[in-house]
Amino acid sequence: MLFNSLTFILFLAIVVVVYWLLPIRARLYIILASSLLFYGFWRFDFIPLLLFSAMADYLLALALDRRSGSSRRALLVVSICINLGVLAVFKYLLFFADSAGSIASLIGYEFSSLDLNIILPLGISFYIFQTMSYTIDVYRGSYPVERDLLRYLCFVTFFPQLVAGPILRAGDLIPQFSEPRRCNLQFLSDGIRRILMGLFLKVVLADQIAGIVDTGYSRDPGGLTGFDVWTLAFLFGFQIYFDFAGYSHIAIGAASLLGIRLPENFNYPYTATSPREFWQRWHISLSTWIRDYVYLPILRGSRTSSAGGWDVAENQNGTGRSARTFSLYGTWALMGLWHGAAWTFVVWGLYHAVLVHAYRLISAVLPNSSARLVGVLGWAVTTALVMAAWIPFRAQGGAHAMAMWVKLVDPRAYGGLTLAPDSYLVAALMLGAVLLARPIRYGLVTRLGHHPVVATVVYTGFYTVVIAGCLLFLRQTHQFVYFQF
Amino acid sequence: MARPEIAGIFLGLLLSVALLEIARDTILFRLEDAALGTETVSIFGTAPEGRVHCQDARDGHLCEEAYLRDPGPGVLWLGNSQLHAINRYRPGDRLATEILHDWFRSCGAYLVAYSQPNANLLEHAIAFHALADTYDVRLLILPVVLDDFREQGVRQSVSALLGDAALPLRGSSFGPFLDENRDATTDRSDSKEETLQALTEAWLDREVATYWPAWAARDQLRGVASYALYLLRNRIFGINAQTQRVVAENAYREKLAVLESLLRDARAMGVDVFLYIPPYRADIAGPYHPEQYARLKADAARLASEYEAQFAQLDTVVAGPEWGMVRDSVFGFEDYDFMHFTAEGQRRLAEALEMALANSDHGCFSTH
Repeated sequence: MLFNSLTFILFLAIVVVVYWLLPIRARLYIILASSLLFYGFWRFDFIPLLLFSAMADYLLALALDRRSGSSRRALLVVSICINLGVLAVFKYLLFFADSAGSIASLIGYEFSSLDLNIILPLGISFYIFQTMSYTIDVYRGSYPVERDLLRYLCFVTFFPQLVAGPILRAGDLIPQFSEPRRCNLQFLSDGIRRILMGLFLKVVLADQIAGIVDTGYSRDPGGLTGFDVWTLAFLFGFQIYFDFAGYSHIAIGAASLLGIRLPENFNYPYTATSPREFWQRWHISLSTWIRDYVYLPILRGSRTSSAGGWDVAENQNGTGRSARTFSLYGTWALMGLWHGAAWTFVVWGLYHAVLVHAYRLISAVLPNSSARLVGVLGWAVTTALVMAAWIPFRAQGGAHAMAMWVKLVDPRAYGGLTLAPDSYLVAALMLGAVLLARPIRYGLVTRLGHHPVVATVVYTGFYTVVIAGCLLFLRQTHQFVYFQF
Repeated sequence: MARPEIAGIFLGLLLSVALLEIARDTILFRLEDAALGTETVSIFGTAPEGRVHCQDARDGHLCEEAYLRDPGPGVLWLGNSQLHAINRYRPGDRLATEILHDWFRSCGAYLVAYSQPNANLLEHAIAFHALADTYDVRLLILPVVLDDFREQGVRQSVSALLGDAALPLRGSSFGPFLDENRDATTDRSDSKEETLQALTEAWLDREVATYWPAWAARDQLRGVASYALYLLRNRIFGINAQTQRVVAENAYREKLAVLESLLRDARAMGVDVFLYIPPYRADIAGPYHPEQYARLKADAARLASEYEAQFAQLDTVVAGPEWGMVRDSVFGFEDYDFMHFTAEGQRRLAEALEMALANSDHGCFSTH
C-alpha cells in the first residue's frame, strides 16, 4: 500500500480506531493482520516469502539460543546464508548473471543471457536486514531470544516501516509491543503532525521536483552545460531527500498513532559540514546497521554500537590503517549494492568511501577549528560533493553518469543555461529552504513557545498551507524512490 | 506537542478546506485559456463537414469524423494558440483556419488544423506523423515560431495522438528526439495497473469526488495554483511580455534538428511542406532577441531551400492595431500580447497565406 494515497489514510484510520479499542494482546493481532493486508495491497503472492524469511530467523534464533559453542556459529551462518540467498535470488541474480556474461565476453566466451522475469519483492532489502540483525543480536547476546511468535512477527512485518524503513532492531520495537499503553493526545497529535509533514514533503515537494528531474535526466548530456548538471544533481538530491524523509515521517507518524515510537531516520542531512556528519544525518537506520553489522565486524570483530556515523573505530589504536581502508571501501561497495543491483550504485558507494576516507586523512592533518568560516566552507564542499554523488544514482547507466560528471569538471562546459528557467529557481529555493529549516525548527519554533497566541496564528498559517498542499497534490504520480531498493 | 500546534493543525484543516472551496467557486477557469487572458477567446474552427480545427488526442476524433464525411487530399496546418485564439472576439468572427479551409475546399482539397497552446516542434513532429495517414496529407503548413524552440517536453495529450504508431516512429529520423523525451511521453502514473491498491484508490477517489466537488476539481485547482505561482514569479522578478528571452543555444539547435528531421521525413513520405514565419507584433519592442529572430528566419529559409519546401515571411502581415493586451484571470495583471490578434488579423493571415500558396508551386493545390 502506498502512503501517498486515500487508501492508506482510510486504512490507517480504521486500524488506529480498532487498535485502541482492543486489549493489549489483541492489538498485536491487529498489527499483524493489518501489516499483511498492507503488504498484500501491493501483491499477496509475496507474503509467503516475507513470512518464510521471518520464520526462518525465528526458528534459527530459538535453536541458537539453546546451544553453545561452534553450533551457535553454524546456525548464525545458516541464517545469514538464507537471508542473503533470498536477496541474491530476488534482487541480484540477473545482475550477477549479466556481469558474469560481460566479463566472459571480454575474455572471449559468450553466454546467452538469463531469460528470467524476477519481480523484486517490495521492501525485501529492509525486512531481510531486520530479520538478519535479530538473529545476529541473539547470537551476540545483545538481545534475548523472542519466544512469542506473534510479537516477533509484528516486529518483522510492522506496516509503518515494512517496505522502506527505518530499519529497526529488535530492541527498538519488540519491548514496546509489551508495554501497556492508553491512547492519548500526545500520540495522536504527534502522529498526525508527522504524517502531514511527510505527505507534504512527498506529494508537494518531491513529486513536483520529480517532473523537472525526469525531463532533465532524459536529455542528452552532450547538450547540458556544467551549470545544468549541477542544477540537476541538486534537484535530484532534494527530490530523493524529500521523498525518503517524507516516507520516514509518515512511518514514524503512523507508528505514533499506535503508540509506538520509531527512531529518527534523517536529521537535516544537507546541513552537514563533513561527509562523516552527512552519514550521521542521512538514512541513519541503514548507516548504523551497516556500521554495526558489516563495517565493525570486518574491521575488528567488534560488537560496539553507537549512535550513527563511521568514526567509531576509525581513530582507535590497534587497528591497522590498511585494514581500516579495506573495511571502509568494502563496506561502502556493499552499501551501494544494497541500494540497487547495478554497477552505478557500487560507484555511488565507492564515491562516498572516497569522501569519508579523504575527510579522515584531511581532518587528521588540519587543526581542529570551530571557526564559522571553516564550518561554512565544510558545508559548501560537503554539499557539493554529496549532490554530485547522486548523479549515478539517477542517471540512465554508467556512461550517462560519467558524461554528466565530465561536464562538472570541464571548465569549457560552463557556457550558458539550457534547462527550463524554473529549474534553477526551484533548485535555489530548495537549497534556501533546507538551510533555513533547521534554524527555524530550533530557533523560531522554540521562541514561539513563549507566545501562545502568536504561535497559534503561525501554526495555523503553516498547517493551512501544508494541508491544502496535501489535499491538492495527493495522488500517485510517483512511487517512493526507495521502494526500488 | 504544544497546544498551539494542535490548535494550528485543527484550524489549518478547516481553513485549507475552506480555501479550496473558495478557490473552486471563485477562481476556477479553463487553464488552457488562462495564458490567453480575459480579452482573448479560444475557438476551434468549423465548416459544414464539422470540426476542421482540433487541439490534440482529446478532441481529434471530431476532426476525423468531419473529414470522413467528405474526404479529399489533405492539408495539415499545425501551430500554437495563435491559430485558435481571437482577441476582442465578436460572434461571427472567423479563424484563419476556417477561411483557408474554404479556400482549399474550392479546389477539392481538405484543410484540417491542429493547434496546441505553447506547442513545440517535437509535438508538431509527433502530430504530423500521427495524422499524415489519417488525413491523406499531401501538404503540411507549419509556422516556424521562436517560442516553439524554447518549449520542452511532450504532453500526454499530444503523444496519445500516436497510439500504436509510437513504436515504429522510434526508427524514424526524429526517433532520437522522441527517446530523449520518453519520460514525458510515457504515463508515469502507477494507477493504471490493476492492483488492489489502484482499484481501491480509483474507487475512493470517485467517492470523495462525488461528495466533495472541490476534490473533483483538484486537477484544475492544481493548474490554477501553478499558474498563480508563475504570475507571481514574473511579477517578483520583473518579467513581462516585453522582457527579451534568448532561447538557449542547445535548445535552439535541438529544435532546429527536429525541424530538419520533420522536413526530411515529410519529403520521404511525399508530403510537400510550406514553412512560414508567423505574424509578430512590430508596433512595440517584443520579447524576441533581434539577432536570434533574424537567425531563425535565415535558418528556416535555408532548410526550406535544402528540402525543397515553400517558405514565406508573414511576420509583418498583421498591423499593430489588430494586436491587444492580455489580462490574466487570477490577479488581473495586464500586459502586451505578442501572440494573439483580432479576427481582422486572422483574416489578414489567411489572405497572406492564400497569396503565398497561390504563388507557390501548389497554386490552390494544382499539383495534386
